Amino acid sequence: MSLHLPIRDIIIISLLFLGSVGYAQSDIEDINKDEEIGFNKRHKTRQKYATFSIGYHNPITSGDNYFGNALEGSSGIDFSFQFYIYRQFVLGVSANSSYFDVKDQTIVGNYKKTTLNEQFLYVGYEFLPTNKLRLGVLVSIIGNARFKNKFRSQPLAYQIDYGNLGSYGFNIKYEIGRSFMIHIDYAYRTSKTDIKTPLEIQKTFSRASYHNIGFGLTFTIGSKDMLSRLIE
Amino acid sequence: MEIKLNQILVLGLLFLLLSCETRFETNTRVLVKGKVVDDFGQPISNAEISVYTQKGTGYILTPGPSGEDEYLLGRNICNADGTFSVTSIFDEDVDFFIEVVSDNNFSEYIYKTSTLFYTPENLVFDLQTVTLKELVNVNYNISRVSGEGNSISYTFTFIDDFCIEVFEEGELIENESYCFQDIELNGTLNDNLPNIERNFSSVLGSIVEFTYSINNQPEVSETFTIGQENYEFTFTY
Repeated sequence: MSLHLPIRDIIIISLLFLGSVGYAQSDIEDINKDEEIGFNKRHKTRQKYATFSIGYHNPITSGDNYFGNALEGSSGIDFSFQFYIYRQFVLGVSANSSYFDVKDQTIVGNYKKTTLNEQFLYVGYEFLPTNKLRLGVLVSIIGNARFKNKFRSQPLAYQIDYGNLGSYGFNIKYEIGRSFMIHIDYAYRTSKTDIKTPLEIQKTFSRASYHNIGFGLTFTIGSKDMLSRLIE
Repeated sequence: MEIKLNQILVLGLLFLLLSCETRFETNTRVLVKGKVVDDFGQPISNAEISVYTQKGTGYILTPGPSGEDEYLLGRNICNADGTFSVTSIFDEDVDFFIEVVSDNNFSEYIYKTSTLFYTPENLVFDLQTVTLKELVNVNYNISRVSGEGNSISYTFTFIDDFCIEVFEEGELIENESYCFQDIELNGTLNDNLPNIERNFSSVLGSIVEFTYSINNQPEVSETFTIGQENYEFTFTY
């Protein structure tokens, strides 16, 4: 498996994370002050400012379309960054790569593999059902997908398709430390493609959809949401 | 280590020249459809239809070395009734061709066109009815019975087993196409090589003309019809 995530997306997400670490320094001073006052006060605060997640997922193709009928998922990686806007309402950005093998070339054309790169902006909400657990539900606002279809590697021969992306999912996070969580997640991803086709096969190529099941690590920063910071 | 700008430029230009990346048309699929039949109009099932494009390899400024520069974009098999439908990637190239091949008993058909400035209407290549002719092997044996010093010059004139149709913007270009045309096979037998036993492939039911001249005498012609598989032709002089 080769890492084929656009470098630009990784750099943007990393810069957001590093910038937020600096901005959240004041929260650490507040927490230290709380430790002087008492242990219980700090422990009740589960509010976060931002999180950075990295994960692995297994894509499972679905639907009566070229994706569901001709491709089989093999693996994938995710990067995401989100802000807590107000309490547990979140706004985030995600960049992912998923890898697929073509199992029926008569449906799609004579290529062997597909690498799917996605980027999307999402909103969501995190429920706090227990002391350590978080349940997040997420919906994309806007997103795009790039399908790189490979014929051969040496020399490289490929073809590209594009599409809009919708993502609907949830995650369950378990807090291990103050700034560190592990998570499992599920998402249903669907892309309305830009592929031009004859009328006879238009329905086959109009949409690509798959399910993502994965796990990963989440790093958190800060203890106040964005709105609280702005008011103060 | 000081890296000079001109060294970087030279390296970058060299990289571009040696780049071997090939990319096909974005966001596009085409459909190739039609029906394959034999000379009697009977459907041929299991014929294989392949869509190819041919790109030069290696260099931007000059053509690269020949090699594996033929790319298979789509492939499928005929249905039992001879109809076919092939979903393929599309490529804008001067050498875009569709090959129809059955087993060794039938001729091959090639549809060739340039898609550099042409995209078919509705993204469909409709080959309509493709006729493959049944082929046979003609095994010929010419031997000398008249003794040393005698020679023979001979020619077989028969129908070639190959068909390629060249299209431009959907219209057939007849003078660039080549389909089941007459072809000649010549030879001379003498003291160095008095006998020969070879074969050639032609169309079942077609007429072969055998023309010969023994010891530079006036030519004589005779014809025979290839009426069966593995036709045997024997001639002595």
